[in-house]
Amino acid sequence: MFTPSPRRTRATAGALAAALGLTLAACSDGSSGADPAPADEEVELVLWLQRDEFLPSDSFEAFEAEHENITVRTVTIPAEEQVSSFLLSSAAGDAPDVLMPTTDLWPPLAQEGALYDMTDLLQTWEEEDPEGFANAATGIAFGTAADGVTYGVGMTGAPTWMVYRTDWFADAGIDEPQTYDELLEAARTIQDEHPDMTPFGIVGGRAASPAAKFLTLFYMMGGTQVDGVPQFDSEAGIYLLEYYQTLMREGLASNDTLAWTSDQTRGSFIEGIEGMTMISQNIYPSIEDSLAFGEEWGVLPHLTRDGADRLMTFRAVTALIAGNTEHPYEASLLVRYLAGEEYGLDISMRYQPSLNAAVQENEEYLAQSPWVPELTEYLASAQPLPAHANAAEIYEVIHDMKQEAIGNPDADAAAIARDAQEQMDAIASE
Amino acid sequence: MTAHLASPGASSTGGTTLPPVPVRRRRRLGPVLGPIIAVLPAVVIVGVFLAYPIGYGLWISLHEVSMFRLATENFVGLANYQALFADPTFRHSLGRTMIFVFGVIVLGMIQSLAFGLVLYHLPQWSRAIRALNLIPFFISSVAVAMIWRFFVQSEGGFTQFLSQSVGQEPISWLASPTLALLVVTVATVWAMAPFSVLLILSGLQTVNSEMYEAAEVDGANAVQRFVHITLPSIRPQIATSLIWLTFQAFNSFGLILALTGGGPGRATEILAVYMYGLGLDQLDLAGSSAVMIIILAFNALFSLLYLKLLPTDEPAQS
Repeated sequence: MFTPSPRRTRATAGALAAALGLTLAACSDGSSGADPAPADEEVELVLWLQRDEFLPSDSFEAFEAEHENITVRTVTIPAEEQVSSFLLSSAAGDAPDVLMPTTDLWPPLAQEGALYDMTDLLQTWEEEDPEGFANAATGIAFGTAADGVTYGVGMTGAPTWMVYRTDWFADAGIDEPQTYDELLEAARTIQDEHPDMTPFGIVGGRAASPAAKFLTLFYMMGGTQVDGVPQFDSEAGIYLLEYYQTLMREGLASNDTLAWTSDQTRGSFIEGIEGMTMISQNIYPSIEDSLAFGEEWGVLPHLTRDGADRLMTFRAVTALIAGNTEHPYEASLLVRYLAGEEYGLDISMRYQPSLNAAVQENEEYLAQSPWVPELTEYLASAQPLPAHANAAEIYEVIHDMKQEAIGNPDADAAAIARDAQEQMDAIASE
Repeated sequence: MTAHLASPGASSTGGTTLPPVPVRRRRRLGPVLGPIIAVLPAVVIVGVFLAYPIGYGLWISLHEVSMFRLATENFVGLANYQALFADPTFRHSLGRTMIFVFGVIVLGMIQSLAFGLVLYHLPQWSRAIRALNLIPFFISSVAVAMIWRFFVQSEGGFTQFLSQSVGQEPISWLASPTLALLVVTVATVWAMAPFSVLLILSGLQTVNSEMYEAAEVDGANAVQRFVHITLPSIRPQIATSLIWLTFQAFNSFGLILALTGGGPGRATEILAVYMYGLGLDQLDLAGSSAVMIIILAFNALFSLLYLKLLPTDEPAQS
């Protein structure tokens, strides 16, 4: 039913190989870019926001007041277009100074030398602002590539957790599940108790990236990766596919699952017609508007697959400095601000959780987000979602694999995983 | 002899023969330069905004491309095209595109003719209703996708309501490969056919009513009048409608991306959606340019076919 795409494999490899030209050009003139010393002139920094919500409430007035020679001009480029638009803009000589793609999509830029190596700038940051530097430690880890070089700083993240209806579970006499098997059993009980409701919501549609939910669940179930390539031809991979197949076969998930995006799953949960699903943490304030945390809904961050090590991963929005910026020091000041406490608190209160340590302990934020203390322990060990340079192509294979399993609940999950793994390995090897 | 044939203006000078050189200049340069100067602005505009991008796309599709410099590297001839046709994903996408385009054309023409006739026969006082026909055409493709998603989703959708009201299980329209392709086809027709209806309506308004009266005197019934008078009379408008629907179907993108994302599986991943993924997700500019040229070639081919089968320069009513 689903077919491999060798063309796509060659395509990205070719594009990236061709992109090496710019890398060499950029590096040959002494960069990773321009001199990282402060400029003694007026500087305009161009910042690419990935959503309008990332514009601070004061539109950078405080930042510009603190740094009088810097003005910030913002352009909103959607998250999924940040990398391709950056490539095109770089080619046209109109690249921004700072961009903010998610962690799984910028490795190709780092690999091809299109980003600024922040090693010296990090040292300067630590010397000038040791407390702010320490608070941004998690963010810095999310801005560090597989080769150990830091190209940016993670600003915010949207970890995805399993949420569930605590009141339904209590009414049905279900203890809080500890494993995914127990969760499946709970879904069966919910189906008996609430036959008109959807026990389990799955994001099965092709319009949603598999990174946020499906891969998070894979690593939480003990999945592993090699050089950023998830190993689905494994116990964890087959378990996940069979898990989805069971949900579909027993009618525990919607018949429309193959068309469901995040909007449908979280909408159904918020509307009170779904028992459990994976939802990103930045959506929790919207849930709270309809349901009371603790009384009507809760989070299950501790679930494990029996006998398996779990790994919490998520994607962060990362502020990266462009390799050809003329003002790397000033750009690094902007990155510091975006990863800092003031901006982090502002955006955490109204949109997405900051990775800044000071924000995560802020009383105002905690009062507004009662679920945070339950998640802190698990967030402490969280890692960036592993990503290969050809992540976009690998995601296409994962889409095919996931949809084949969902659409064919009685098919051999091991065979589906094996076929997909062969395709992913082929993409990674070219 | 020459001056007499080619220069009617010269013959009005009272029998005086004009010097040969000035006459030749007026006869040759006037008719040649005049039209050239008149159409030059249009040629320049079309050349800059249409021909150049297409030509550049064709050029890119024949080369390896550096995404960073937007520069073509090596000339590879038709290698990008060969790679596309060797890719089963592309071939399947091409097949689905043909089914989709055929569906849009057939359903779109049926709707256009039916709505056009209904609107044409509306009484004078209710003709403002014609404007309502255009509403779907003015809605953005993403909004159309949301409308149709609500309409067909099996949980909370309108079709669920209908199914339950007659005691039937709801149908998972968007989770079935066949039904999802049907839904995107119907949604595309719903959004794009209103303009085609307008074309047909404009054609109907040009048909000479005396022909219908003569046919009635000869005993022709309604179907015969439609087949032998109406259809031949609006042949130019039918050809234009077919071209319009074909273009819209081949280039349909936003609606499908928002409604199904190309799924389930790849059931609704037509060429335009495939091209988007290839170019913007996988950064294969040369490959996506090749797909663009293929889409363009199909559009041109179908247009020529329509114009050949339905010539617009010989109105039937003449």
